[in-house]
Amino acid sequence: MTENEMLKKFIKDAFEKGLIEAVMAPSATQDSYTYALITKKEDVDKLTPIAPVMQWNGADMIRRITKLKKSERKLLAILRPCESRTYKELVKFNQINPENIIVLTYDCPGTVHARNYKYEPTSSEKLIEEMKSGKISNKIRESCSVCEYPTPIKGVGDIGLGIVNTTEPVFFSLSDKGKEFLAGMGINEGERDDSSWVKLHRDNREKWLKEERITGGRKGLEEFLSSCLNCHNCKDMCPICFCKECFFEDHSVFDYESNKFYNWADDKDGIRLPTDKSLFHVGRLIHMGTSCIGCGLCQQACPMDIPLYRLFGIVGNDLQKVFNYKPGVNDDIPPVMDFREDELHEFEGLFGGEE
Amino acid sequence: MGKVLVYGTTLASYRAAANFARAGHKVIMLNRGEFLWHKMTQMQQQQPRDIMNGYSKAILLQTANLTGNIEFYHNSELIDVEGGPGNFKVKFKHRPQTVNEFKCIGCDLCHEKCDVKYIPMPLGPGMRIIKNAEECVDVCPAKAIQIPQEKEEEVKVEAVVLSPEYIPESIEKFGAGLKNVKTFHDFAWMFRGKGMHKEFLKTDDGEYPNSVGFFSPAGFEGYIGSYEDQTIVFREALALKEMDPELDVHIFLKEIRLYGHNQMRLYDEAVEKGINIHMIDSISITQDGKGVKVNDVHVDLLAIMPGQAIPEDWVKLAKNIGVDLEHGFAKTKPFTFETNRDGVFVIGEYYKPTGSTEAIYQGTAIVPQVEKYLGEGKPIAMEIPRFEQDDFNPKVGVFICECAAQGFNIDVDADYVIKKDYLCLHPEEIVKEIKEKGINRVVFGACSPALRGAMLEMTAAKAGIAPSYVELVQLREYASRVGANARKVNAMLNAAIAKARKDVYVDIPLTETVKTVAIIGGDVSALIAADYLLEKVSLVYLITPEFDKVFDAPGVKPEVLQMSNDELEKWYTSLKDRVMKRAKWIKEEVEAIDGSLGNFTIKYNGGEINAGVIIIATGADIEEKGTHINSRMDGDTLHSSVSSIYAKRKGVEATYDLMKSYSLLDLAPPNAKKGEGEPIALVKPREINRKIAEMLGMKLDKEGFFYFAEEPRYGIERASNQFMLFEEPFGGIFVAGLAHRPMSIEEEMEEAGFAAQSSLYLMRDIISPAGKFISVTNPRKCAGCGICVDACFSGARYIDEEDHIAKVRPAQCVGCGACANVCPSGAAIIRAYSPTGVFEMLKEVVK
Amino acid sequence: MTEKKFDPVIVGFFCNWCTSAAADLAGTSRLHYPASIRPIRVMCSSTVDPVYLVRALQEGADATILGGCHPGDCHYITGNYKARRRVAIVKTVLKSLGFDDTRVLLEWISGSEGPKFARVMNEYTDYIKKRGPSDFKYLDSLGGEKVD
Repeated sequence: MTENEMLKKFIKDAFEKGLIEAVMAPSATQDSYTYALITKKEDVDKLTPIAPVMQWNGADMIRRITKLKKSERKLLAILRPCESRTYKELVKFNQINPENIIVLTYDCPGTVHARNYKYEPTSSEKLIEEMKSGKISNKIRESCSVCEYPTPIKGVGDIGLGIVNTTEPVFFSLSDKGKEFLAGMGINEGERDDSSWVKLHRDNREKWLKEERITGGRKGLEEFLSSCLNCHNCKDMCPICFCKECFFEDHSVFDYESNKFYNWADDKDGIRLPTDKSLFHVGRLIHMGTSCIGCGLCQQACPMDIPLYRLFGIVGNDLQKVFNYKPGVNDDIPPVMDFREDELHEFEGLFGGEE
Repeated sequence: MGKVLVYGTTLASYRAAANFARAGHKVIMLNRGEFLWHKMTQMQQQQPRDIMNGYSKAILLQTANLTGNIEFYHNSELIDVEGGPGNFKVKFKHRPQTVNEFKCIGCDLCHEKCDVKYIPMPLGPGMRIIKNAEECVDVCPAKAIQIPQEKEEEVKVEAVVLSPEYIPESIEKFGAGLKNVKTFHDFAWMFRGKGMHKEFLKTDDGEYPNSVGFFSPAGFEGYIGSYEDQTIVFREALALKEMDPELDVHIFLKEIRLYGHNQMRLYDEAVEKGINIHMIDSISITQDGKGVKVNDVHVDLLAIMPGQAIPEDWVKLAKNIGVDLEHGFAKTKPFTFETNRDGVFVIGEYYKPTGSTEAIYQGTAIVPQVEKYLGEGKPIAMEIPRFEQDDFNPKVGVFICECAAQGFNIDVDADYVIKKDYLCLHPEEIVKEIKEKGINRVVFGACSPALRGAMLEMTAAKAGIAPSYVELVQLREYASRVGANARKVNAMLNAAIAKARKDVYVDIPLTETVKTVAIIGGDVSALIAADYLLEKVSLVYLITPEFDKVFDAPGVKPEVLQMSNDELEKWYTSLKDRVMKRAKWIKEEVEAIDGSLGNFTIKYNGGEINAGVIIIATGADIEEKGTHINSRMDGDTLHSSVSSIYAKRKGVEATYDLMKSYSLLDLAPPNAKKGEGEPIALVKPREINRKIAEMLGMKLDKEGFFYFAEEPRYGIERASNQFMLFEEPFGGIFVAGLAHRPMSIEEEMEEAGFAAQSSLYLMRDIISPAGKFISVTNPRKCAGCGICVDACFSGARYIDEEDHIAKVRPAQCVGCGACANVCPSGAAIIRAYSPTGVFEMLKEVVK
Repeated sequence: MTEKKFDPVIVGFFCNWCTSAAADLAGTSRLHYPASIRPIRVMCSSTVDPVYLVRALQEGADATILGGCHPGDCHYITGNYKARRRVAIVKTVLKSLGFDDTRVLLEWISGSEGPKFARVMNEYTDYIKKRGPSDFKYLDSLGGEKVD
């Protein structure tokens, strides 16, 4: 039985036992996969719980369902590890009400870039096969191959499905809610060792952090963004950019009389239009960098193939180091919502508070 | 409306004068110096870098300006007080300031033509003393120069409040005169105005010390002082260590007197940061090379924090007025500030050794006590005027004050540029110009807003211009006085003009309040607060199943310390009877509290009530077991102050560990020696505190006492900036008595008085204290993430469960703008400081 | 570009209660500091959105200063702690991308520290003069040093 079949059986059993009333999981389309919400056991076969593509971030979908009011039905959401971390992060930002939701996540083989999938389809079974052989597939997205947490984490989500390093996939609980759920399902919790799978990614990540960093200030940033269309797709796909309307789309702030533009051009020996292209990216880093989960959807969304995750992921990583914060992996309060009295003295004064 | 004379300039009297004026009474304030601050307050003597003075003085002056209720007399001396309460005839002499500090506009013309001694000060024009005032009266365009002719005045007042200034005891006996031994004041002065940096820390030989010691003589023969002595020492030691972790810092103490709420945290932190704390029984300070030896420890520099001395003039004053003293402190009627002479009150250091928190409590709690002689106060009615509103057709008029611009060539892009010699001296001309030219945005290029900002804004208001359409550019202090050039001046003005063009009309909201007070709990402080409030508020609720008994720590003043249990009981019973006659007693525990400042709903078994303000006075259980003057339970607060009174009153042979006595008890401490044992009195906060804290979103300390008005950095009890002019940031919730920390009944009286008087200020419809800086939410943009809620320190923001959008409680918003800063989507905004305006401004200011 | 004396522009956001008061005091004490400093009075250091700092740099400022009350002395209790977090974020982003993060300065200057205010302004201007014009203002322009 494949992992997908196993999960579908799991879902059907859960429906039967009355443990759930709805499921959110990927479902195939002509060229890709989207998330689907089903409420009946008969519809389970329409799902592909583990999809080879991540077109949207699933946590973003749950946000849409529960932002205003808690989930009225018992919902099981099948999320990738990065999505489950997003889920946890969005709960902190009051964007998801976790009541009545069970999150199931699994050892992730990574996903293929949505556009690549369209022209060269593959299956999750193939990706899982490669994962089981202990190899990171060369087909998966850059952000997946450098993922810091490619497997379920205790406390993030409720139920984990272990796939690597085990003959038969094993379920285990990640929270008390999950423990109860598995007990209700009559499933014995199993164990597997995911450390080599994680290490493979972490090694990649270390290398990536060193090698792909954008350097050189203005020159580096301008080169990196030189083909940017200013379409703001990266922001639209970013699950952490949950604002209803982005600050950078407020025209009352960025609209000026013609003379202002000419003055600018005078002062700066010519300006590039639109003027707020780079500022948008810098501004977005300031707003969401501390909570960047690393799903890499910004990069997938870029129509010009700018490897944006190198910008948001690496700067985000630096920011998170400053605050000793790992988004979505534990209950720490996001840096933008918190402060301490005795901290960050290295940012005071010209030379870190010392003279 | 009554009239009260306040004598002396201390933290307590600053506050008292401001509070009388706010309550609608006339105040005559006698200051013995040339200007306020000239006679130093305790805080200035002890820690000259502390900001408490600045705030207190600013609050006083602001209130004086706002209410017009305070008359100041400087260089004054009280001669005689005749008559009785309600009808005092007070004779005093005074000499006017050579420069009237209210009229002075800081133009500095007198500096050129007169013989001026100038003392720069923050928040104002600085202080000036002119030696030849007679000769140069005409120099001053503001007519602020006065001839310092001594005059005698006689005024009629209903009551007199005495608060003469403290002086520190001499440190001679501990080794003053030795090299590298300083008073704490002189030590702290090294960093004044410069910040705490290594380069300013020097020994008498001009070298950077390797080790610094502090010594507080608390517990030694003849010492009297407040907890402030040691909190200041600990704070300074920690700051030194922060500045230079390598520096060897020592503190020498006989007793630890950190008995205020959470103050032991300072001690813990000092230990943690590697500060050496030496507990000593005796002290010897001798020269040791370049430094000194304290007992057997060498330090390169030693700072001694002296206790309090009894100045001779205190004794003279008492004799003159007919007030009884004991050991130099004024005697008072039990649990009041009133002396043996009716209608004459004392607060501050003349009353008992007083820390800055207590001073502020006293300066507020005095009002209800004196008011029985003053009659009804007439607080000035505040109203929000309505203005012309036009956000789309800006017509900017720039008014340039030549006093500020000082000849710079003004070349700016505005509809009108109007220059005047002194804007502040000709408000009527400004009004005329605005009206004639149809100006609807005003940019003032003048001096610091701390000086004439409010006045200029009001002038514009008289011409129908809303405050949010007014911009102020500080040409004088930010430009012409500090070596600016025309480029900078014009960039600053153009920035303000650009912002003015984008300014929008800001409606300042008014919040209707319920005019009742709910006191939760049955502590002694609950009854005292109710007693004060019942005179002024139509309905006071007391919500408690039962009332606490009076306990055995009446206070440190001899009048109460020596009261018999019967007398104490009698006092308590009459208090309770008085309150019970008029208050509404709800004999239940609180079950739920909803709402916010102005309208709380309090539910209890069997009903609910509404109240505008809540006072928490849940009291505590006091466990009596042994004879030990116990130090701390599980938390950071010493219980010793209450215990030492217990030990004294019971007359037992006691043991102690950290401190034996405190405050006035030092005059005749309880009989105790070092040791361990079962506590003589353990104050145990009540379980209900947790429930209330949760309902109101308040914080409790480890033991379960409420945090209230604590200094944010260490969370210790100290008058922090929360004691501002406004009560609104407290959120309509006050804490008094044993719910806050272990304290004597005397101190409960002070806290209850503070809570009651502060509540009274909120018994009106509340204009948002933020003014034009009121925060608003754009619902179209708000994603309801709640970052702004975490950022708001005053609890003005919350997420509305219904539509998942952040909302603002205008009564609590103070306009700091933290919400706008943190909001990622630009939904939370300060409309008077919106990104649109700021971006326009930035464009111009960098030119 | 022709060589001319570099005259930097430094935008200062100063909180109303401490650093602005210190600037006042520097003014009443006639302590001179360079005209490069362009002060903007804000209610609290936490009023300053990090985007304002970045925007000032982009608009042409060579550096920005955020001045607030000393820790523990904030008029709004905790505003300066929040401001410090924002500054940490801005500086980290700049540094991470290879920009000069010393172009954003966070200083605690209390109301009575007029001399300190003048000293910091002098020292910082000197520092920025040595550093030269900021790169950031030419972001998305054709000017500044040539981008290949």
